[in-house]
Amino acid sequence: MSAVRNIPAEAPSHAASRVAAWPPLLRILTVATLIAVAIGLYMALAYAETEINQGLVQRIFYIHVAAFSGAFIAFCATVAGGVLYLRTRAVRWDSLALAGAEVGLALALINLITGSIWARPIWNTWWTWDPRLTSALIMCLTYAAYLLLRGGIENPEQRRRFASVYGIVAIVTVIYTFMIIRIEPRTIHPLVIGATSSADAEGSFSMTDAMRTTLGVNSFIWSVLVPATLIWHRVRLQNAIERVQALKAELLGYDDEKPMYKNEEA
Amino acid sequence: MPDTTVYLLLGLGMTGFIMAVYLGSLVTRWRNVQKDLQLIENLREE
Repeated sequence: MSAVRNIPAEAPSHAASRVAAWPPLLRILTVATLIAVAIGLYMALAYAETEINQGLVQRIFYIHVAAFSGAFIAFCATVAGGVLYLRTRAVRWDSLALAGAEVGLALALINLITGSIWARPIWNTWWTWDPRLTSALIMCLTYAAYLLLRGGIENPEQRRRFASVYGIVAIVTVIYTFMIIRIEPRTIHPLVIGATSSADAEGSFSMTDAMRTTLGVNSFIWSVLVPATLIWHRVRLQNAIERVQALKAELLGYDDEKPMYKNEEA
Repeated sequence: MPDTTVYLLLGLGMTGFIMAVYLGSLVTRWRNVQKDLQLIENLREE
């Protein structure tokens, strides 16, 4: 593509500007999400009471818990995309799966890092190999590997098939992370909603109505609005990437869906 | 009540940083794709 890159860019063509325009619903959703995140943040910082034993750091839970919910939803989109791609072989479902994995990983990282920051003053350590923390780390690494391995497969059809199967299987790490504090008696991770199975849980707190409302509102924002908006933007980006690849293939005179190199057929 | 304000700010900062990096990567990739698309369209027209 070096020849293509050497050509000076001119005014945007019809095709390029058509792809660039945001659909009205996406604009509304993006603005609504930004406003909702600001409201959620206000509730977390000002509306909910300060927890007396932990101080202000407890407020990080409203983002920490909500980010995990968002990651869960995004990873479910990866499963749905994978299943639908394997059934229909339509590229758009693979785009959804990829978008879900990427957005889910970003939210899972927020969950992991805010948890670690909360742990420093409450557990007196940034990190401990607790079953919950370890499973959350494994979950993040599993989805980081999904993105890396995807990028390593040149054949588009092979890549999509592999990613679909991987994305479906990888949800096990998410379910395990969700369940571990409910079934594992050795964890010190507190359970905010529901009764914990662990007597060793450290950093638990009881919630007032305002705290419950704040957690509910933030969970809705981060598990519905944020993933939906980000996934939609990422799918649009992927559609544009697919279009560029198809045009490149057409221009260079090879079939995009077939291997470019002989050894890929092996 | 313990003063844990700095950890709250650190947590919020890291959340903002991760979101900013991800949104930045989306914008950068989008711009690159648009540039590629334009170049290919120009090449096809020639």
